Amino acid sequence: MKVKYILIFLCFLLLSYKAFALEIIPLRQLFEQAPNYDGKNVTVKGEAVGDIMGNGETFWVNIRDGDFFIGVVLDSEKRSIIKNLGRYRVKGDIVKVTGTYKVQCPQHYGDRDIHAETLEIIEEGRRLEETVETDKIVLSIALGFAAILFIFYSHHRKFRKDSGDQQN
Amino acid sequence: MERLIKYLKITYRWITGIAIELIYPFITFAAAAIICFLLYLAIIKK
Amino acid sequence: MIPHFSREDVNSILHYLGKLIYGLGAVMLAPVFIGIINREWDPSIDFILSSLLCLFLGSLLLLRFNEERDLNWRQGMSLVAISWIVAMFLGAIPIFLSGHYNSFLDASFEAMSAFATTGLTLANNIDHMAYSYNFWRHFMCFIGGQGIILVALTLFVKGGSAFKVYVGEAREEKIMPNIVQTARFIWFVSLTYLIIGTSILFFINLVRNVSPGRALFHSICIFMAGWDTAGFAVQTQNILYYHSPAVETVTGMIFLLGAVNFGVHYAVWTGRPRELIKNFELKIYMISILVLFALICAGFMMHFPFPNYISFFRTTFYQLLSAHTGVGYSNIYVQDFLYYWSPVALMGVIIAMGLGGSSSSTSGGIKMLRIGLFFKGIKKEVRILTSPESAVIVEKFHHIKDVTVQDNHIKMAVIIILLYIIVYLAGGLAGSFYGYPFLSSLFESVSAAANVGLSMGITSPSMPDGLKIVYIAQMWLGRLEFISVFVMIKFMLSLRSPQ
Repeated sequence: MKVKYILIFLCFLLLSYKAFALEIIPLRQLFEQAPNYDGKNVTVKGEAVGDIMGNGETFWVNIRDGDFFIGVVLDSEKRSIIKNLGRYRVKGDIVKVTGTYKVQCPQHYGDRDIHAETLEIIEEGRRLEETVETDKIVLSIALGFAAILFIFYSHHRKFRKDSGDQQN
Repeated sequence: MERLIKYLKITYRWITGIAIELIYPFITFAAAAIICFLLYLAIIKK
Repeated sequence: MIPHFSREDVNSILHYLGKLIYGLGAVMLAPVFIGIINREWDPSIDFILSSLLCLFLGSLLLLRFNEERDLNWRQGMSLVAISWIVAMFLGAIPIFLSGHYNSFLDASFEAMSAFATTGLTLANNIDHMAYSYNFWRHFMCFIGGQGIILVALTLFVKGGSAFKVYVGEAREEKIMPNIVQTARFIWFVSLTYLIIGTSILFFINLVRNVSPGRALFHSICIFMAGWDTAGFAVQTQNILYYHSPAVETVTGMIFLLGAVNFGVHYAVWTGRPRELIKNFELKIYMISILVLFALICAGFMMHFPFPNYISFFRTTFYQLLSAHTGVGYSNIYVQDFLYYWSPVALMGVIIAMGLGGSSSSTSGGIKMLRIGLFFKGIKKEVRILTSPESAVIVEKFHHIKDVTVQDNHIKMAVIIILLYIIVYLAGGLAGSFYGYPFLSSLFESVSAAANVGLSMGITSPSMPDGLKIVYIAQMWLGRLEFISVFVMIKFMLSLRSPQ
């Protein structure tokens, strides 16, 4: 009986240890309390933006968490997981990344990065609608007319002035 | 014919000009790399 | 004494202002093409609207002030100073309409930052910005760097007036006999390097599996902002976004080339390559780069955060180059400056920013020619003091041609140096007044006034509005090197009582 409880307790400990590493840390904290996390295994989440850059076996993707960004190093397998990258009218995939955080990565010339060990999508990205305001179109047409009128008027005035000079 | 030679001359000067100009950033980088390395050694020694 | 400005002066200035606004309206159509290609309809309409607004305003001015006369010095200077402010407000309109700016003030700050090739940004979320708006941000840098005025010169104005406007822009050399030819030559150099630089960057991006369309977009924008020593980037993380030493090396070389005096480019490209070695300003510049770089490296002696030599070199040299050439591209985060760079290293960056690049280039700052003149001045004085009274002391140097140092050269150089230092310190005080730490404030102030664009974090949309206005003023003053602005102020004051 006691053994069963001890086993349950041990399982609980193991799970909670994993849960600690799985606790999502905001990027802000990784930046502002960098020495606490440098070299450690962390879990972060963020929107994948821009482009996935690289070749061979090393790829980079930048993820955004509020006002903070970080570069994540991926291998080609993880690279293919990400489908949507944040752009104009596109919300990128929100990914959850677990990996080692380095403030000055020796492998990558001092870059601040996370070498991803696991990567999963927790919210898929999607296209967003663009709305065109009709007021702007109306205003453009009005301004266009006004400008054309001005140009004609100034040409007309110049023409009259020139022919007036000729007469004199 | 003369105009062709003139154009060729201008083009030649233009290309060699660019090539020569590109040397100057290289030299700057190289000199900086050396200075940095020397200071790096000094810092590591401490 | 400078006499008051007359009604005639006002007419001339406002007439040319009208033409410039026309020009601005025309270039605003370029982003429309980008918008249409990428099916960004709302942004395209914003640019069409802004362009028509410029057309409308320009027409109003040209109708009212329709006499075209050659500009004299005062008019040219005032025109330049006023144009930058007007261009700032008009250039801000399309980006304000994008919704990526908290206020019109923020958008104006961005426009001034672009035209003055500074690179401090108040944009929100550029990673989700439409290509046309983002292109306009970078295109403004290109136009500003090449000189809004030069754009007008090559398109509208005839010979004589152009020179006065050109000098108002703070480029002193008459590189070629005809001013319009000079303007065209500057464009030629820029276009040549545009093609070379963009191609190399494009190639690097393609190799890194970026889609061709985006690779081209990134490459052109980064080139424009790099060559014109501006410092805007396509994504929030600036150059760090690419995580690529290759991109950093290429952009570093672009900075150095963009910060070279156009007169030197001309000499080298027309069969006088020795100018590169003989040029006094360039020699002083190289020494300064290496000395300040050594200072920055030494600043890490007490606390060395880098894991190896290559990260040490990459980080420090790129920041130094970016600072000294006045670009403002960064391959580190703001937090790196704040937490890992010592005050000594930061002062190295601040001094580099403050000194700036070559005269008659796209850089900002005090400019190395003045620094050189300053040292020549000291040398001359020392020689005079230590020589017999009857001796005639002559100091010479080579800058495109052989030049004898004259006392009024030294006088002007020292006055401008002091003016810059005063502005740097004043901006630093302004930042402190708003509660920011002094070293960061000084850093940001020098960055604004020398049109660099590196930031330690003060510049952000949540910055106090008053400080935004201070930095706008600094960017404007710095770009025009004071004189035009003083002449313009005199002009504005005289408007109250024209003769």
